[in-house]
This record gives sequence, structure tokens and C-alpha cells, in this order.
Amino acid sequence: MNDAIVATNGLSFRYTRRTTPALDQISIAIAAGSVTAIIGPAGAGKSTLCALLAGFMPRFFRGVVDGTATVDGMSPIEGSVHAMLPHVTVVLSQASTQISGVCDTVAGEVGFALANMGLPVDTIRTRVAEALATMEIGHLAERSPFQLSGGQQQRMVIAAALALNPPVLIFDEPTAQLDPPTVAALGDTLRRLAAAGKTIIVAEQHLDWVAAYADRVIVLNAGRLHADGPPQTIIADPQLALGRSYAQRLSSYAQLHGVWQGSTVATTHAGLVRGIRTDAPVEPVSRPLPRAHAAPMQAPVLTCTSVQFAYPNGVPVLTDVDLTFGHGERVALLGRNGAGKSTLLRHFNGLLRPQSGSIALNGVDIAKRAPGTLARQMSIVFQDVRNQLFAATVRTEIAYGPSLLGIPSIDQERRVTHALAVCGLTNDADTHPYDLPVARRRLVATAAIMALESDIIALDEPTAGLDSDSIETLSSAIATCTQAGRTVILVTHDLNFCATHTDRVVLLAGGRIVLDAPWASLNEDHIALLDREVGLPLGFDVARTCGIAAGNALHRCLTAPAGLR
Amino acid sequence: MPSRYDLLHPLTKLSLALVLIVAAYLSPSVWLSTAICGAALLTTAASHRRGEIARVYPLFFVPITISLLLIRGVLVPDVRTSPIDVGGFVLSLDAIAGAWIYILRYCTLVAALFTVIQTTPTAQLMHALAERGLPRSIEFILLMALQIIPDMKLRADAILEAQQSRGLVIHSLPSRIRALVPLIGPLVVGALVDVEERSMALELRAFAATNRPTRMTVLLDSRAQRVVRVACIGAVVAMAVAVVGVRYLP
Repeated sequence: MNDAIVATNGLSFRYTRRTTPALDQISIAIAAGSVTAIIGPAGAGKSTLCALLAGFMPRFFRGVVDGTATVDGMSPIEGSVHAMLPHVTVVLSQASTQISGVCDTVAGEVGFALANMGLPVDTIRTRVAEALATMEIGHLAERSPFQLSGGQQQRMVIAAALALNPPVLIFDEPTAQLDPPTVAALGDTLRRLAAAGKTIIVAEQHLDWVAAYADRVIVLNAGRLHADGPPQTIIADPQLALGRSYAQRLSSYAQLHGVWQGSTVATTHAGLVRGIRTDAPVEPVSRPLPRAHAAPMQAPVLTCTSVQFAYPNGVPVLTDVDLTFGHGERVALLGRNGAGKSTLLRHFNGLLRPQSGSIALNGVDIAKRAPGTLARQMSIVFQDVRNQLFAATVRTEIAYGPSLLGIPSIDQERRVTHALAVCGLTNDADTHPYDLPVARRRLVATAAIMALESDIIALDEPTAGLDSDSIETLSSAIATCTQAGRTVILVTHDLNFCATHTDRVVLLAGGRIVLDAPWASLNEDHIALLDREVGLPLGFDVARTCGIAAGNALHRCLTAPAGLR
Repeated sequence: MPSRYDLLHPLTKLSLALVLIVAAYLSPSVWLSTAICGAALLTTAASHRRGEIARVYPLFFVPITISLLLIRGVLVPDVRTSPIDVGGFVLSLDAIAGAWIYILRYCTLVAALFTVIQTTPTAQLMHALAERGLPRSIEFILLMALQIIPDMKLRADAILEAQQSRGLVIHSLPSRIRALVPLIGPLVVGALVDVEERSMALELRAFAATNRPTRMTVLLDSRAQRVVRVACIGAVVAMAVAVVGVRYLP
């Protein structure tokens, strides 16, 4: 390709002290002004390729490079990261570690690289303002970077990359911590940048996002180039075993129910809208109501009454939160970045105390209970699993929680074996958790919490950074929990995942609960509210675009959880 | 709204603090020490954050006052002068006066420096020092160390929450000892993992650039402030010379 701005030829890289190459004979050419997605399972070499193109190999990450690479006419193998910066930059997946720690404001952080490059003050101010506006964080410009939520930090580091304004921008899993409106906005921004001539390369697990925004998909597997082509072709190819996107699942489901007029499955929202037969007769599809709504109300497992909480500076986070969860319910707790979801979650097991109001677990007020003593009733898998993992093997990591609860050793062994099996970790039992890929580490953290067999299990962003295989394993683990009668709370931005695995949606906005209803009973107003705050799961979104009213049989069909399963 | 003190050049504030600290250290009299400490507290009062700063002072001042009074007044009493018997303990007024001078020195040091730190953004302070020749690498290490402290505190809190969520209860000394590995382990491992990514982030922020970096903040300065700084440095030198003269010259 003559107009390729990024090109590699027989590119291989082997990390020092590794026997197998992380990249093996990669030859690609990427045209200027395009959005290229790099996908593949954990350990496929996606992040290594991103780092290499930005100039990190072989000096920052030691190893042996073979073959050639050029980015905007420069060789990243011969040049340093600094030398490559006018040509390419990369945004890494973990936002919190990309904060320099040197700047005391968001604006300073976004302009830090430009200042280091010695650009004039006016240029820096203009670029910083533009980048902040693009990522919609202009109002945070004077805040400390350390005071931002995870999603806000992610937007800030993306803004810092945009401010550099290089011709090639690389993003390594940029959507992992962003809420759906920001994910969509980022997609639109990247498309806009590509239209303006920038070359965008995105390593991403989210197939629907890739299908919607990428011009081309490169599939890596075990460091080798596995496939390369347009997203519709690549994602639809069953031979590649990439897992199915939610769009594919929904169109297959529509086919099954006779409401599909296309000859092939769709891979995009637009394809779904074209393929759905809005005039076809539909067999009734019922979406089960949550247990607490379907069955006579048992004693609730968790009750929040008029919970209020504010930061020490007086900024309110939670206002008049009233909530009740029944045994065996599956609930999605949704809201934008900073809506108060994580704060509310920390109240459920006493990590935070409400400034007024009360919280009861199994009818008992937890105000005077130490947080650790509530783990039998309520446990949480937090988003950053690095804060949890410490043991030398996966098995001892999982056994730690039950041992703290004083579970007899025979039962401990049963729980550990069960959790290992459910989370697909049996073969990794004696491995150090940090020797596993990041996606599997998250499964270790989930297994460690499952072994507690708490009445309520909450998972904070459980699908962030997971590949499709790991998401399937997580789905099975959640199903096992609910079959055992445990209440599952999902705090997530992955709307399709939570629409598939929960029965009820609780929506937080500005610290207040603005919607609490079963998915099956959402009316047009609820759907509009959900769309405004966090966006819609695919089935709801397609139904709305097709003009299918809530409550209609076809609407129930498209929004049934089996449609996305 | 920043006060006039807050808007002073960082080095002017540092110079004022330095002159107060040196004066307090060299002052031989209780009354002079009290006046110097009062001047240090005046800098706090001149700041717009005086309320916040003053709320922290009891935490600094009360324990040190009690312990120094006990140590100097009771444990090391000069019983030859003005002995006072208090319930079997022999106190000495001169010893208490001596302890009071130490307390005033400490309070002056804390008040003068804490007010400067609380009213000066760290980046501005480092900017001012860099303009006077502080190497960039040292500036970065100092800044990062100062800024990372809150990050580490947040990480430590998050680790504690994660372990409490799986049943960790800390209620006694043995339980605290048992909790060390699950609490320290993720902190250390996380820090080591962070180092690599943070280093990558710095590379991507052009920190390795060799050209002169652009300063985004303009430090307000004036001829009057420059005169004050020179006067402060002169006062410090003069005090040092006077003390050397008094103590060591025949």
C-alpha cells in the first residue's frame, strides 16, 4: 500500500527471558485517515504491537526485534519514544498509572507533554482547551487528577494524547472504564479525527464497538497475524472463533423468531435495523420478572432507607436512596461516571457509613458492624483486582476469604475446588495470579469472592478488559450464583452484559435513584430516561430505532435477555 | 479568594519562613521567642486558608507541648532554681521556661513552613526553585514524591476495602499482624506494576525532552518582593554572624 502511514514487514519481537515471541512475523500496512482495530484473545500480542509502534521496543521493553516498522516515515525501532512523539502516541488501558504525578490540575496534566516539548504557552492553552472540550471534561480543568473517578481519569489521559496532535494515535483498550455515552462519544471523536486525516489504531475487545467504528480489523493470535479485513467480514467469520458480537447474537435470535428478513446475520446496529421485520407476527416471548417481583415478597436481603452521603467538602454523593433487594435477585446498578454507584456499593457492606438513613442486611441494621464481619452476607469484587490479589498461588488466594470466615478446612477445600471450576481456573490453581493474563486475574478475584458464598455478591465492572472467552466464563459463574439463590448486583457500563444477566435495573443520576424497575416492565419514559443517562442495551436501541413501542410483542422479543445470550 | 500573602512569590514566602525559623532557633528569651512565634502565626492568619490550617495546629502543637513540658520540666528539672513540688514531682520554673522556648521554636517551624506549603501549589514552588537552578530531575522526584502520597493513600484505602469485603477484620494486635501480608502485598506489587506503566506514561509525556520546558504558570514577582527576599537572606546571615560573634569571639 503506497499511502500507508504505518507499515510493518516481518516484524517479530521476543521479550528478554521469554522463549516464545510476543509478535511473530507481522506484516501490515495501515492507510492514513483510517480507524484500524486490533483484536484477539488475552496474550495475543495486541499491547506489544501498540507499544512497539510507539517506540518502546527494544530500549524501554528489552528484547529482540526482527523485521522492520515505520510510522509516519520514522522507525520506532531505531527511534526513542520521545523521538516518535511528534509522529505517534499511545493511550494505555490503565488510566490511574498514566497520571504523571507532577501536575496539580487536570489542565496541567493534559498540557504537560506539550510543555515538556517547549511549545508556546498560547499554543498549549488552545490545544488543552480543545482536548478537554473534545472529551467533555472542561469543567474538571482545575481539579486534581487524583480526585477524578476512573472514567474521568481515562477521559483526561485521552485528552492528553489528543492535545499532542500526532498523525497516528494508538489506543490500548480505551473504553474499559468509560460509560456508554462516553464510549459512543469517543467512537465518534475517533471517526472525526480519522476524517480529518489522523490514523487511529485501537486495541479493543469490544466487538460491537469495533464493528461500529473501525474501517478494518486485524486479528492477532499468539503473536501471529490471524486475519485482516473489514469488520463485517472478520466478525462474521465463524472460523476465526472470535466469539459473537451482541449484534450477531440479536440477529440470530431474530432469525429464530421469524422476524429477520436478511440473508446473513448483522454485525452492526444499522444492519440490525435493516434486517428486523417490523410487520412479522411474533410469538409471545416473556421475560421473567425478578424473583422479588414475581414471587410473594420474602424478607429482603438488603434494605437501604433514606441513605444520604456527602464528601467531607460537603458535595452530596447520595441523596435519599431507598432500595430493597430480594434473595436471588439479579440487579444492574447503572449510572454515568461519578453518579454515585461505587459509593452506594460501599455502603452495602459497611465500608462507608451513611450520614443519615440506614442499611440493613437480612433485616439487621449494619450501622455498628465492622465491614469485615459482613462478608458472609455481602461481598464485592472491585474493579481494580490488583488491590485484592496477594497470595502466591491462585488456590491460596481463593482459600483466603473462607479461612477468614472460619470455614472448616473440608468445606474450604470444597468451596475452593468449586470456585476454581466455575471460573475455569482449575488448571491454573497452582499458578501465581500475576503470571496469568489480566483477564484471567479478574476471574481469580471473582472466584475468591465466590468462595465466600455470601448472600449478595456485587461485581464492579466485571467485564472490563475481558476477552470473549473470559466473558463466557463470567456469565456461567453468575448463573451458578443465582441458581444457588444468591443475589447478584452488577455495577457496569456494559449494558448488553447486564441486560442479559440481570432482571432489574436501578439507575442512579446525581446521587439519586431515578429509575428502579424490572427490565421487562420498562415503558417509553423509562427507556428515554435510560437512554439519556447511560444509553440503551442493543435490543432496546434497535427496537426504538425501528419505531417498535415498549410493551409490543416484537419489543418484548428483541429485548428478552435470551436475545443477547 | 487568595489573599495578598497567598499571591506572594513562593521564594518570598520561603524567605519569610526561613527568617522566622532561624530567629526562633537563635532567640535566647521567652518573650522574643513568643513574639517570633506570633509572627509565624500571623502568616497563617494572613492566608485565605487560615481556618483549615488552624484546625490542624492542635494536632501538631498539643502533643509536643505536653511531652516537652514533661521531659524538660519534670524529668530534667533544674532543682537549684525555683523548685516547685507538685504531688511528689519537683518542677522548676526555669526548666519550664526552657521547655517553653523549645515549644515556641517547634511551633514557629511548623506554622511558618506549613503555611507556605498550604498556600503554595507544589508545582509553583518547584517552578520557582527550578528558575534558581534546581535540576529538572530533582524537581520531578520531589514533585512526584509529594503528589504520589495522596495516590498511595487512596490505594492503601482501596486495598483495605477489598480485603474487608472478603472478611478481613482488624480488631487486635495479632489480627493487625496477620493482616500485614494481604494489605502490604497488593500495595507493593501494585506499586511495582505501576512503576512500569508510570514510566511509560512519562515517556509519552515527553519527559525525556532535552529542550527547555514551557512553564504554564507565571510567577508574580515585584521589586519590593525581591528587596524583601534579599533583606530576609541578609537578616539570616546577620543573625548567624551575631551568634557566632557572641558565642565564639573572646
